[in-house]
Amino acid sequence: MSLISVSNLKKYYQVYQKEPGLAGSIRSLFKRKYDTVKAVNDISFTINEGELVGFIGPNGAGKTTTLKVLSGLLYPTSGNVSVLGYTPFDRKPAFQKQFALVMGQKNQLWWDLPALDSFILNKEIYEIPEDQFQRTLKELVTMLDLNDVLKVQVRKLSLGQRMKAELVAALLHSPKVLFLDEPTIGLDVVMQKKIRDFIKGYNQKFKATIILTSHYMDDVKELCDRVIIIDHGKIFFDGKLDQIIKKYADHKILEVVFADPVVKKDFAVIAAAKIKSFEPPKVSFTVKRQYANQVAAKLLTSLNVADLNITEASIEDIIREVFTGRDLS
Amino acid sequence: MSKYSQVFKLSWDSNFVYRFNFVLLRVRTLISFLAIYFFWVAVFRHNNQVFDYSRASLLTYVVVARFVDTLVFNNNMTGEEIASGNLNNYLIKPVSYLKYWFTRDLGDKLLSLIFFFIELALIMLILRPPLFFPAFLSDWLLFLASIVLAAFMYFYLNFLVNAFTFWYPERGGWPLRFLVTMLLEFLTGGAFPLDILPAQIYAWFKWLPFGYLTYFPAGFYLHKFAGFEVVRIFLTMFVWLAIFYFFTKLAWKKGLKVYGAYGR
Repeated sequence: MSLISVSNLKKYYQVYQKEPGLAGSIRSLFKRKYDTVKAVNDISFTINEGELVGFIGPNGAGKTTTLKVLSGLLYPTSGNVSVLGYTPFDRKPAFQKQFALVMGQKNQLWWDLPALDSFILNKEIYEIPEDQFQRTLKELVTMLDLNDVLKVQVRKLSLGQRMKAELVAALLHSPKVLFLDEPTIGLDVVMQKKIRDFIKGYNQKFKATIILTSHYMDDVKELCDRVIIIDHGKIFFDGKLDQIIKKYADHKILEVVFADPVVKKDFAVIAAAKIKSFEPPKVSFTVKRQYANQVAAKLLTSLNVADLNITEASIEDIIREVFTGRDLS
Repeated sequence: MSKYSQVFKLSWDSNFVYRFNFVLLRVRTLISFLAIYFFWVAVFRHNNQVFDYSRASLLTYVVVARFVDTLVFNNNMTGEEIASGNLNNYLIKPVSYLKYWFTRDLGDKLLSLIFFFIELALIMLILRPPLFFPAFLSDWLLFLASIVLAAFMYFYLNFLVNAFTFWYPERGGWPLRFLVTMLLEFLTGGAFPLDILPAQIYAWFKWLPFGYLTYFPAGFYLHKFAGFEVVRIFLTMFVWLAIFYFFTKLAWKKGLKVYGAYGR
């Protein structure tokens, strides 16, 4: 059954526009111009129990807005949203006890007190029984290797330690649904990997349903079977990650290392290939899928090639091209 | 209920983390209190009776008014939390934001009260003001009951003022809050008893909510009101409390719909 269902969700904001300069400021005192920003513009999807779904899209695409609507923070302009059978904006305690929202750039921990104090506060707020609290805390702290810093003021923790502590705080009440907004932002690669492994483990161990947004493709590649790509408030793609390649990558990449010096004119013989990068002796080309072999053969016969490699376009490349509006079909 | 007792404890704890700031804040208000105090000492230098007040009763009034202020006013940061999006932390949890802040206020006020008595002891030792206590138990009861009501009035008024941040999030709603604080400092009667104003103006203050936050509670201590006036004061306080309560609820209900949950 679907745990989260969103149909025709729209969230528009009124944003006030100020013209630059003093004259603009004075004008705006008397008459304000408002613009409607369509942060989320008619999206629909459903998510089943235990799924780990990645939301990807450029800044301002509407990912965070969607998560905020699902958490009951924002009131939808129109459309229907149901999470665990509840309407999020009603903010029923029974609903709130079953989900958590973690924002990589926000903290819920009390800045001046040790993290443990905030954990105990959450224990009371979520009405977690003492034995369950101790058990969950021990489990999470071990998984995240956080034992040493529980009694240190939060302001003195490193960003990585703080992010881990934020995760613990959000998971103490064993939420069935977890929204993670950029959980790895600003972290070094080692810490990113640790957080990622933790999320994966949490999903598998507790059958938690997770939606994750990230700018790091590695997060999504490693964690999510299914991705939803959002751009300009609309869903652009919803499906398995490898289907993106099948759907949008109609070309392959030819990476060639030449044995002799080459100039761009030499490539006139392979009109079907477009130069992607030209750093002699390394040159790479993009070629339509069906011509790839043909072009490779021609290169090998007409020029002195030291090394040749045919690869699929990377997901990063495809997504970048999708977002910059290049036509791939 | 235990969730709020934990909030109380943390609020108390974080005040000790901030103990230096807390002391500075007390010193700041103590200085403005001393300015008021010495102003009145100077006024009474050559007269023993000014505006129907004796030296002892007016100096008692300003000290009692400071006691009332300690229990009524608070430092509510909800506007900043709305503007910064930190409100999100409470909105997603099974916790009442209003009760949360009410509990934090209680924690702050208890600490402020302890400080008040320390300051009072020092003032008694050094300045030896001619303070007196109410003659009747009923004065104590009316005094304390009116403080509780006044604290509720200010709690909701403050929430209401901060709720404007939903519509004007610039600067965390600070300008409006500053304006209201300035007005209240002058209009509540913390610096002078309101009945020394001309009679027509004082008549207005009976309708406005401000005086009920400091002047009227402190007046009970001085046994200034009797009979029907006592009933009228409590009725007026209840009406204003109901008005603030209603508009606070309304503003939050509407505000949360326009709330942008900002902050990245």
